[in-house]
Amino acid sequence: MANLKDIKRRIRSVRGTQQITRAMKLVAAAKLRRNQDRLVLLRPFSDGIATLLARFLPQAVGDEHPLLMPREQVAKKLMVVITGDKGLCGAFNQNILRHAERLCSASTDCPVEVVTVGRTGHRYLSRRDVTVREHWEDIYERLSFLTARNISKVLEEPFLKGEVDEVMVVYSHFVSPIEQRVSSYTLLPLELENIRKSAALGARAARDIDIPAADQRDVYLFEPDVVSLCNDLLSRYLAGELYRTILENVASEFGARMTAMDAATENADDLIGRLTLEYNRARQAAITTEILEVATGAEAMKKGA
Amino acid sequence: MHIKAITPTRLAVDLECRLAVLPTDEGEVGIEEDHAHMMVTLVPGQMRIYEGGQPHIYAVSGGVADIHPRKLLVLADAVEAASEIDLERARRAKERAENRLEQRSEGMDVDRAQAALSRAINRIRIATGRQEK
Repeated sequence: MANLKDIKRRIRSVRGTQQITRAMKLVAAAKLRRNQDRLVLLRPFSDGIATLLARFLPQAVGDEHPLLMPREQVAKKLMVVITGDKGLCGAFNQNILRHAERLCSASTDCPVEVVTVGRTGHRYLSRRDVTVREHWEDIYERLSFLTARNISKVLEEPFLKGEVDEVMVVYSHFVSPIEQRVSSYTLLPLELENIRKSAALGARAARDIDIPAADQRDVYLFEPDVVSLCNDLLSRYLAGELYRTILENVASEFGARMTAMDAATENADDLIGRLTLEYNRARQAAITTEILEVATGAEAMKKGA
Repeated sequence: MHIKAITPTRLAVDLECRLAVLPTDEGEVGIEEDHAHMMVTLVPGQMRIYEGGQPHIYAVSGGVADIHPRKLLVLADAVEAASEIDLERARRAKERAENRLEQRSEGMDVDRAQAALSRAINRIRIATGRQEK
């Protein structure tokens, strides 16, 4: 039977860990809420951009803009893998990375280069048989739209130069705080259909954001000109998509961390229960032994007397 | 005329105004009511909105403006009122960008550093009311 003091020490240490896991769960929950607010606040902006694009793109370039045109031959792909910076969130990062690796090995006919966002992804993939082209970490604490713009510029450039023919994104989609789904989609070329959809959603929500409706007959002035305006809008739209994806992934990560820390807190409860039982047993055994010793002693003295 | 400025993080401006002055590539553009339909690209700079006498002053990083006779919609990466700017942070950002431009390490993105520098300078100028050059 284990030593009483040892058990007591173990209980104390498990309780300490439990306090930490409980705190981490609460922190994750609070951050998740803040993150959700950001997703909501992004909507008017991205719908606004999409509305303007849907209005001017057809007249400016039709659907022939380089960012919108699917390549006839895809010779090289770029894959953006978005993970968290930190662990302690269950299998969250591993799930994303496993999916990314599967996609890489499935693409046998064309090489894939990787851009990682998040430390865990970089740490894992840089040791694997993949080319990591760019790498971003420590961006989540002060994540802003400008960060997303910087990343999206790095993606847009090789695509426009023809170095890569497709850009895909792998991330974890936020379904609910307890459900995350690893997903992937094609970021580039952009699809006009998606832009239109986003614009239609924006039109429905127009009462909140109030993007002025355009009359087809309205004559517009452009400065500098309609094509460069559309380029500008498209690259902002792209950044917006990426920003939303990163926010989704961050939300998923907090959700996963909440679940993981909740489970850890519960496990700690179980462990404390078992240890307490063991402690009480050991204490009872010690008392019984002591009584037995006293009784035997008394008995022996009586006999001796 | 009603002006709205929307950024990816918030609705930054939502008010009635008499005149709005926007920073564009060609210099400042003043917009009053009954302006023709127009779309402009905004560059990092100062946006001034006049309700009455004194203008509200904002730092704007790049964006676009959609101009209608009675409405003005600004979609910008960031819009900050002069009083909201964290001067300390802007100064640090300026220093960082300057250092990076000075050292010019291998493979660095000069455009990005330059953009960061002009954003920082713009914010400092607006926060201090143009005293600091």
